[in-house]
Amino acid sequence: MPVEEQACALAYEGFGFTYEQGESEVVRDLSLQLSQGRVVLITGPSGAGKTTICRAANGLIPHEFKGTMRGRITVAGRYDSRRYSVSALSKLVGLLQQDPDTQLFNPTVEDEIAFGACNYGLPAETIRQRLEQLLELTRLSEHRRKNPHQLSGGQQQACALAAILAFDPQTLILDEPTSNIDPLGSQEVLRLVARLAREEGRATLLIEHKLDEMVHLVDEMLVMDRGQVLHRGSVREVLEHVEYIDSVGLSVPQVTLLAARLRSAGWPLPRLPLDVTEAVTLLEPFIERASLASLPVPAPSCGLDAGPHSAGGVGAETIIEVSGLSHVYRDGTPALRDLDLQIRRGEFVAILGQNGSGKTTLVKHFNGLLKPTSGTVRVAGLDTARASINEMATTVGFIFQNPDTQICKLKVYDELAFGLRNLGLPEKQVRERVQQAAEDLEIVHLLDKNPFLLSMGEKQRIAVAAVLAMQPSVLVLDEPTTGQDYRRAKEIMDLAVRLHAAGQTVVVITHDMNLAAEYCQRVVVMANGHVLLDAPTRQAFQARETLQASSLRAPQVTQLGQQLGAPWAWLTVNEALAALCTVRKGAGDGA
Amino acid sequence: MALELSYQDRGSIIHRLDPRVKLLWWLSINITLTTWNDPLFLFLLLASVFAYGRIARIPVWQGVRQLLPILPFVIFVLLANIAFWRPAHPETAHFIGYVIPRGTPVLPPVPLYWETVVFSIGTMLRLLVLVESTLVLIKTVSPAEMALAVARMGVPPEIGMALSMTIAYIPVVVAQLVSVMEAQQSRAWKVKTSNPIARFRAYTTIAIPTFFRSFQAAEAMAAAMLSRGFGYDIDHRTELKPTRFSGQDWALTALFAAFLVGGFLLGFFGIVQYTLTMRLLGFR
Repeated sequence: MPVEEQACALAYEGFGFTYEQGESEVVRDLSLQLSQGRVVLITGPSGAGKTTICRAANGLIPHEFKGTMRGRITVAGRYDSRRYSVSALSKLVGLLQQDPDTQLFNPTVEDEIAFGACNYGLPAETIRQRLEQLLELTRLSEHRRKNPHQLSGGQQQACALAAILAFDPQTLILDEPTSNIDPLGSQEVLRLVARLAREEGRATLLIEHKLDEMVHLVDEMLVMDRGQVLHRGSVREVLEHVEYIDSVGLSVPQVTLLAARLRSAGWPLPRLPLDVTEAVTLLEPFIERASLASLPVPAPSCGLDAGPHSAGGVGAETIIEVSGLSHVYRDGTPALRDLDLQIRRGEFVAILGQNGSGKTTLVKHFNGLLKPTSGTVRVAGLDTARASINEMATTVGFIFQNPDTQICKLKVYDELAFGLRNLGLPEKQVRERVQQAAEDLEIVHLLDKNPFLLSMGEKQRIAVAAVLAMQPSVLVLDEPTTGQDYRRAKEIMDLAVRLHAAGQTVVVITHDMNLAAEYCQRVVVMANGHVLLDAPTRQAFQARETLQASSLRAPQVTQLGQQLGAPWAWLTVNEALAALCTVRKGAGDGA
Repeated sequence: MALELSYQDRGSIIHRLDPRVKLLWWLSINITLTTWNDPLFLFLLLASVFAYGRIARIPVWQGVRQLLPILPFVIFVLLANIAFWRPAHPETAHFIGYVIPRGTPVLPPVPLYWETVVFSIGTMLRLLVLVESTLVLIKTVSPAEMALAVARMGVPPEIGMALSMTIAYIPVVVAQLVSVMEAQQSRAWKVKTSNPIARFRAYTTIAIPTFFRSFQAAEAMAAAMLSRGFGYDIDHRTELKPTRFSGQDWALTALFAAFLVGGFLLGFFGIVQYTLTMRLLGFR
């Protein structure tokens, strides 16, 4: 291999790009060099230009996504991306895009992994050897003959990654490789990527929101917003600006943010911790263990601590009652096994669990999208297996992960009126309800617009408003945070909180433990089609072993509290901050 | 649902055949189809397609269920034939009555003959054979095999790959359709209505988001394919399972080729025509 190829696997020089229909540059003046064996992380909110940077790496920009490109991208020290085709550049630069579902198009996992290697004409024996190695590495050996669309989200992502690794590109570009995976699964994938980078000397560019998992795996980190680099350097250097990064709406390691706030409050911390272990070491000398052990549980806020027996007001009626529910899919896959669950009116419940644990299958029974194989599901007194579509639609509002699945009209007003007209309401009532929902979601100014031409955030609000206009008693949010940056995820959850405050029962499916801890009053943890744990959030996050059994992990501040000896689970950074400030050595002396 | 419409490696004798033989099977059925219009023979042909599928371990109920969504279209074709198709010699045809009686304002009279009924049933069966045989082909030939098969038949490899990827795209579109239908059903969307206009309008509702999402998925899939070397050097692409024509392949090739020639000639010379069933029903 020529010397220059070894030195710089991929170089962006003054890169900028404006999409054909766009008005301004989505990435501005980016210069970045990726050398072999190094892992570089780019993070930033939606609209930061991250995906554009990925597309440019292997020539999809400018060859497939048209627009105006500035600057230059050079692959392996000598191939100008403007002059070589995408398939030629991809031999050197492997790109894994966000959504694995649309990247899997072969009939079996084996064929999927071998596809790229075969296209590049690698010797058959080499491909077979790599195939075996990768199947083992990604733990897909037992699924090798399955259709990739039968795999769980995490397995699909592993399969898509293996399909790139099979042709051994010297540079890897991974655009949110863990967006669909549960916390422990994410950790496994990211560690695998980092290991491959080190052991095989591969240059790796990662786009990720989950900084908790990344801090010890990357060599350089860039924080971007609106196409520009805000901060760059080592993870420790960049996270010195953690409070600012948090303010632009990015998910930052909770312990780092906590320590930064403690430092602002006058704690003489020599550096900011990057993980829980480091935080324990740093904070331990400052706190009174005895005071911490006797710290009273804070008063419930935002409905927290209101467990299943007290939620939504003591004695609230049961609105969802699941008894002995089992569901077997048509292909024979058992998804739910003899599941019992009760949700009371006015509760805010998170349903958590690893990929394939049955969460979505369960909630699809709430509005009759799925019928029980055995057992019953009653919502607001209606048997969902027998109730009409109209009855279910006015009882349970279901907000899907992707608003594009739902939006079907060419005018926002008609979109909001769609469900109401399906119910046969008089036009006057339709108008009133549309207006009310639009006001609640602050989208009155969009009512005459075409929803397909709006931003993703606006589409999300339209989708929510269209469901709310039907005034359902229960609101189900299916993975509202997947594929969203932290700011947008929080926006959606804040909206759910407002609805909850207005008396709505809210059920959220999520992998995001920080959000579940911050917003939900009760947690239902699922594994293998049944309920593993059902408890108030604070109690649930203390059950470390149970969470681990479901590939979940409590938020960093909860783990920190546990290791410092707190008698109850800290759920948010603010709670941890308040607790630590109370038990700081000398705090009682007014120091 | 989506996966049922894609290749399923069931390890049957059909799955082990050379893809060209399977393509020949499909061609022999569908070319023959163009020359036949006798319902009895077409019914036997449909039964043979189900039998072939059964040998490929595809459950008969699965095949029947997958024909259900196209039934409205099939019935439309049946009714359109009944309304517009007339026997070549109406004076000697077997008159049943009028679908639209004489003297109806605006509309012309529409006579109905036994020949029209028999022929229309044949046309409906043709459509069912075409769809079912295509579904069986899709389930028994993997997209990659398909690409290789057509490339070996002299078709440019790019076209072969494009064809195979189109087939691979079917389950993705079906999955999009299912999620869109679920989202609309959650807002009281109903398609089960007896009014055909209302039903058509209900389907347009799901067409917009399905098209939009499918377009997004197609764009992502095209990018993913290019990013994995699609079209890099298609002539030197590695074949992990190089196929060789076995004795079984040769025997079935001979059988399907004979059926193709025989079936085509039977139709071409007017033997497998609807008049055959007419005679069996006692009409002279």
